[in-house]
Amino acid sequence: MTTDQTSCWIDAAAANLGIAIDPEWKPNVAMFVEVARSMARLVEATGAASTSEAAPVFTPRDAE
Amino acid sequence: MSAVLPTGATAISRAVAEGEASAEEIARAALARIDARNAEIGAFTDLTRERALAEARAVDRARAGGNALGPLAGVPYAVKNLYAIAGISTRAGSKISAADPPAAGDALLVSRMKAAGAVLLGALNMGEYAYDFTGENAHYGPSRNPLDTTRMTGGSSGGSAAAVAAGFVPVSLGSDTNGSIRVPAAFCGLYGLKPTYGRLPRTGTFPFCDSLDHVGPFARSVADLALVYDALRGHDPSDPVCADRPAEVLTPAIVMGHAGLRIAVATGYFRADADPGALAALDRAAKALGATGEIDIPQAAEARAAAFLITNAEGSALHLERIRHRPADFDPDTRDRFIAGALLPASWYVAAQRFRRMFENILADIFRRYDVILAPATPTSAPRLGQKTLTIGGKEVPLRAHMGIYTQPISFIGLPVAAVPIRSGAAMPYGIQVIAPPWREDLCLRVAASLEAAGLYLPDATPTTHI
Repeated sequence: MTTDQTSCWIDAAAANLGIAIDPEWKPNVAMFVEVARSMARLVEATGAASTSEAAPVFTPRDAE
Repeated sequence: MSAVLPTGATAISRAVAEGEASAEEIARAALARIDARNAEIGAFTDLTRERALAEARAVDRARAGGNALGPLAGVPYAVKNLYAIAGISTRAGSKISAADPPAAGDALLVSRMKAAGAVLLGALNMGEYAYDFTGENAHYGPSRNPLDTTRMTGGSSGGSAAAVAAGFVPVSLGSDTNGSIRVPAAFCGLYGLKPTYGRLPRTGTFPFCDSLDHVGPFARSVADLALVYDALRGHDPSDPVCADRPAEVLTPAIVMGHAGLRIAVATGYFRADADPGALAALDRAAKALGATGEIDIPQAAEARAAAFLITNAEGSALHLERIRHRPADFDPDTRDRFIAGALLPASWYVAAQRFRRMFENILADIFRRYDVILAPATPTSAPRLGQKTLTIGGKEVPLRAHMGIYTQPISFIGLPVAAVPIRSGAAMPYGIQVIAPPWREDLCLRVAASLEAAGLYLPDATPTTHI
């Protein structure tokens, strides 16, 4: 993803979520989004998303 | 009463039980140490002076009345300021939550400490909302490493480590989502225990990332660590994650040593970016234990990446309203990461949660061959306060993002870990992780006790024999 594409993504997602990002903060936010992208690339390459069950297990409790 | 007061938890509880010291004089001595040096160390954000004296006097009255005392009778302690303390706002390291109404009651583990006779001295500094490996805090100042006050304590349980390493209290409670007990324990030369995920109830603690949050103790000895853990253990349904299973006492186990255990040293990912001191500390520990096995844990980098995504997404979702309405009131070092985390696609988060199960299976296979794995706790010793980058593997990288590279893959699947301090010739100590299969905290502390007995934390100590 290019710098411009990351910037557009941040602008669109932040607007949808109602988050106002000060222009001074945005380069740092973009850096963290890019770090997360690189992490996601590693995780996606494991194939876990389509071959493994999710770790959280919800166990309904008895009614009180 | 006594001329020289004991300072360890085990020694204090014994002295109080035997009438060699009163809980009140122990508490007053601890408060005097805090009054003398807390401004320099930055460990405490809130002192519960009156409560401490009242709890100490209650212990002394119980003894005078011939009543049975708890296992932590008269032991001073303090908690990371994300634990609820009745009458005090739960800061969680933040300016925003510091303005919340005071907590109506204590966190469950604070209640258990009180029931065991321990004496609460206050709440401890931490990185904002626990999203931190440094111990720095823009609102309350940094916790400073008592071994060298120009250096970081590590975080996010920085005050919890500083209070114990400075000798303010013998034990403290912290939390660990990605390494927040193990990193500060390593930097400050302490023992820490991150129990199995779901072992200790987190009720009454300010959350960070539900999928990965753990709570646990710090101490200056393995015996004290076990003593506190034994008082904390036990299922409680108020935390849905807390497992309803037997919770064995650890104190009797620590004398068993490591004989008969199959111990392996983690290689590959867990050595690649460690500095020479970290590798020397790991090698000293392996030599002292006679550990010759080596294991290259597959996909550790992917595990660390998945832990990063889960933390970023869950933590940001937790704070979304604060990010929307009060972003300028955050510590700038956490704010931008929380904002970024709020924007991530859900598919990344779900993939990370699914990989968690896959990685659990990888470790389950390894634990069929080994009982315990040794790994570094951090790639370096404590950095200077204010330092922003690290040089690891010949590359300059952001410090905050990289100090947890060895701890994150382990807590990702909730394995129990003891952090053990080791010296390796450098000015500052290192820490290693003693990692066991789920629910086997006893193995962690047996090995930790063997390393303690080998004297690897003593300056210039050289182990002469396998113990």
